[in-house]
Amino acid sequence: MTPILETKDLCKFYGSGENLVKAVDHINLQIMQGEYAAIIGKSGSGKSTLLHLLGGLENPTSGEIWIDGQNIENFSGEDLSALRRRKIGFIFQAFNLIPSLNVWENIVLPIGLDGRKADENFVKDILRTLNMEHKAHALPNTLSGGQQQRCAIARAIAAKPSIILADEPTGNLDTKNSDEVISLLKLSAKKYGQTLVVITHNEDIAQMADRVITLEDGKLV
Amino acid sequence: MKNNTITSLAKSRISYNKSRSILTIVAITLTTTLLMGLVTSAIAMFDTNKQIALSEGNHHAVLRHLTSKQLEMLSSHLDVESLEASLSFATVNYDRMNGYLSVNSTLKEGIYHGIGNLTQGRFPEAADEICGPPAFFERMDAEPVIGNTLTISFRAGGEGMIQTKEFTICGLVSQRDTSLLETISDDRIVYSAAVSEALAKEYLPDEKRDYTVSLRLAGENNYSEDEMEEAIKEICQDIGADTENITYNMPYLMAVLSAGTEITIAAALIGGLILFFSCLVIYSIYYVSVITDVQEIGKLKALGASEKQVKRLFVSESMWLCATAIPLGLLLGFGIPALLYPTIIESVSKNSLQPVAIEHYHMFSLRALIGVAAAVLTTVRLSLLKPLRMAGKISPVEAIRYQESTLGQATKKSRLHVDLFRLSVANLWRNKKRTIVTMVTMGLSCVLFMSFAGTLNSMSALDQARHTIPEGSFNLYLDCSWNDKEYPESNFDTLQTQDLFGEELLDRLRQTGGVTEIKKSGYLLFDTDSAAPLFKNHNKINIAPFTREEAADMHKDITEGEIDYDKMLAENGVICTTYLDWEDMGLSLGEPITLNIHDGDRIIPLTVSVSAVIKDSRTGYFILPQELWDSLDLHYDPTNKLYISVEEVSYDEVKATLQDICKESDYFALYSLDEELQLGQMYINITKYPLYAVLIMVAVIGCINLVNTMITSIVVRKRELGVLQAIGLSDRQLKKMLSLEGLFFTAGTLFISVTLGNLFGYLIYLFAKKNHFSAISAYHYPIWETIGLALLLIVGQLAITGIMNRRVHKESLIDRIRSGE
Repeated sequence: MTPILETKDLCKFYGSGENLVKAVDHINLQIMQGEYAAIIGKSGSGKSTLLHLLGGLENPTSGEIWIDGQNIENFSGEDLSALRRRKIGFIFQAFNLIPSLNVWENIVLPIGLDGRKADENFVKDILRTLNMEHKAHALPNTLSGGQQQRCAIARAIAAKPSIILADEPTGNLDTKNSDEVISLLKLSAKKYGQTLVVITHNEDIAQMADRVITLEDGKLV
Repeated sequence: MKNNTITSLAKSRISYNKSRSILTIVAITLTTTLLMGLVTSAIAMFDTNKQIALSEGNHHAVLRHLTSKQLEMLSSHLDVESLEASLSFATVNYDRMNGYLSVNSTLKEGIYHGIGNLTQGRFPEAADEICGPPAFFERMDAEPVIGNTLTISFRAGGEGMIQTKEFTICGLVSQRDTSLLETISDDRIVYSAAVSEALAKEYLPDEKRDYTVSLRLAGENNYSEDEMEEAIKEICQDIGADTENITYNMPYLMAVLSAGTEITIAAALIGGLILFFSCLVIYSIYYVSVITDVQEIGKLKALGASEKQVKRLFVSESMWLCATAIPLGLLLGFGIPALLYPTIIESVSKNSLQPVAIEHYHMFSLRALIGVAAAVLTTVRLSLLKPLRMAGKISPVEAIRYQESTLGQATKKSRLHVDLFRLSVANLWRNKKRTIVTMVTMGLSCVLFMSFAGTLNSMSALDQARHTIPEGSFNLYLDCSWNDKEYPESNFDTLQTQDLFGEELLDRLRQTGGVTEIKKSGYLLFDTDSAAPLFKNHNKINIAPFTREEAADMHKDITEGEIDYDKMLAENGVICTTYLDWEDMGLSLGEPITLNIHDGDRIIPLTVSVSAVIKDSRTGYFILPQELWDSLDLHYDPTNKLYISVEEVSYDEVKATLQDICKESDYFALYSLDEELQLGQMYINITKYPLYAVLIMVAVIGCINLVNTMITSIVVRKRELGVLQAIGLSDRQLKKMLSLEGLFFTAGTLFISVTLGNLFGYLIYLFAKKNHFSAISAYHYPIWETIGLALLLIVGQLAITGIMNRRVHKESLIDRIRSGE
């Protein structure tokens, strides 16, 4: 199997001198295509920073990030935006839906930003998979937390990215909704052949992963 | 939570939400500045006008055409406190000088004037004494020194034989600054000096005397402007004078008396409008931060804060912000006009005929200051009601998660595909209210700008000039008499026989390069056998033709009768254009009257009847349909003036030729467009420039406000924009989206400015025209101002978007996404 995500000696430091914080400290990591990886660790261990680095949302202090065989080090802002639209789907703890757009429009937004037309049947299929068919026209603020997160998952999947990065996707949800969301996430990732990287505090969710990556003080344990 | 807890929480909230606090402070400061600036400018302008009005003279009104008897009655009228009479005694015959001799008398003390005050010597008493401004004597080539003698030829009452007499200068009076008039032809300047009653007695019998008086009523403080006008009219009726001959000293009345109802209403409307718009600015700034506030209120309530405490916290926070912003705004709002206004007035007075001797600039008013501060405070306070009410409606937990304004709307029709344009539209649509409030806010300054621009644009020197030169660049006219019995050679009908406007003259003009069109305008003189005052002793007045097209235009000016061109053709109908003289003609509508029309030395009898009386004086006392005019079969040319159009490059050359023509003949005189424009300009400068100063201030403050509004709308959406970028919105797309939104605001703002701004502009114009305010006679659409405004908005908006886009990027994407969590 080929690695779809790879980091080589990846570092992200904040501040300097006494205030130097090594959020990510010389991490070498490979995640294979189709793999479901869970990143766990205490608060402040560098999980989110690692995830943001993997998604090209932040620039590393040093080291390399390879996504689908490409080193993103020399990517321009435009290239990174295109990469995020096409290859990566993000899911945030706070859902971060666009309040002015309804569920359907939120889902097809990244595709539209890429100048493409959404594959209607595919989006309908996702909505069906996530049990959100009846909410296609609803505005985000009328949805429950679970429904909002399912919409965010649909948005992450719709552009058919190879990688889905989820930052504590169940952090704002109750247990029932958490289980449901993570099962759906796993199900759809499998169905559409996507790599899934999830940050979580939840032991049960970590247990379901193919691989558990533990971080402590910015280092792999 | 105790009071000090709340105060310290409020303070820490201010420093935590630093950029928002700064924005709010800037917004409140600017609005206060705008409001205070406008109020200060208004006070300053009012005060300047008052000072000018007071320095120009304190009479309440001028009455013209009074007889000696009426003057006597007036001087014994109980309501008249002060009275001065001026008798236009004689015209001066000294080459082409436009000179007059007058007899001035003070019947009741108490009136002062801006000019014409004694600077040396005394007023004339003996018949050979004269007193006048230095310019009068200089024009007569005499040295303006007391005791100096000069010989003056004059015609008493402008008629009769020319008399020649030696005068001794007994006094000099103050005059306007004439240095500005150097480029103006002498024909356009009136010179006048005063002689004694003793002289007038010798030459002008009582019945020929035509007095002009300036008067003041007793107890001016008891009148409002309207009441004063009414009282003067009554006095006029008491002495049997025509009320149409009253000219009120409006600048003085407006400065001293309590305003008439119309002006009060207009001022209240404008003030109210500015206040309303200004409050919208502050409200909109608060409005965009509603979400944060609602969330914050939710958190506090969840922690156990009572409704009252929450309220106190927010009020305390906003008061802290106001404590910085309002004094600063008041200071700036007062300081900017205080610095700019005197400079502008001084530079204006250099180019104005009005002596603007402003000794001190009064523009501070404690009441205005308190009023502005109170208005701003009230608005800030009112703006707070919204988040408090929102937070009150929902539970603390919901409040924490509160997202703005889609409450109530559950679904929205889907678009199958979403692109940048739809995303922008969706965002604007989601916040309909905010979008509108922002647009109206941005439109505020633009509306003010357009309103002022419309009025300013209508203050046109060209309109002024067009009174004397309705077409083309020059008006070459005959300076002639109609009824000169002693010197009949200067009468129009006699001059007609000389064919002054004949081919020879026209050829000469045509040969001057650059003349594009020469248009003739003419009339004929007529007399009647009627004994009515205007026609008595075969007194001649004039008659001119009018066309069918012109007839259509006259309907709005009819005061009596009707204009039916065909009927007039059939019935020899004429129109009387001087409704003020209608009574003196002793005629009634439809009554036949035989006119003896003078065509040079021929008399053409024509029986006509008056079909209508209109109040728009045209080329003749009477006008008759063109076809009837043509049927008169004239032998002589009725032309009395030529309107000459020229190519711009040949203007000076043609003017020189025309000036030569005038010099060669005793009867030709010339109006040139450049001089008329210059005179018009001097006349309007005094009001136009202070208004421009206010306009520029509105524009500057408005621009900063606009920038502020746009920055706010981007800053508060920091997180949303971050999320969009995280899911793949590129920098270029972000910039494009912000520009699209901005352009939408620009378009909306322009729409509001052009509609509302022009509407207000037009209303102000109508008001100004009705009140004869500074040369406003025709509405000119402010086209260049509109184009300028549009360009400024578009360029400014794109620039701000660019700058903001860069500023947004200073913060990392992650920080932006997390900013609301």
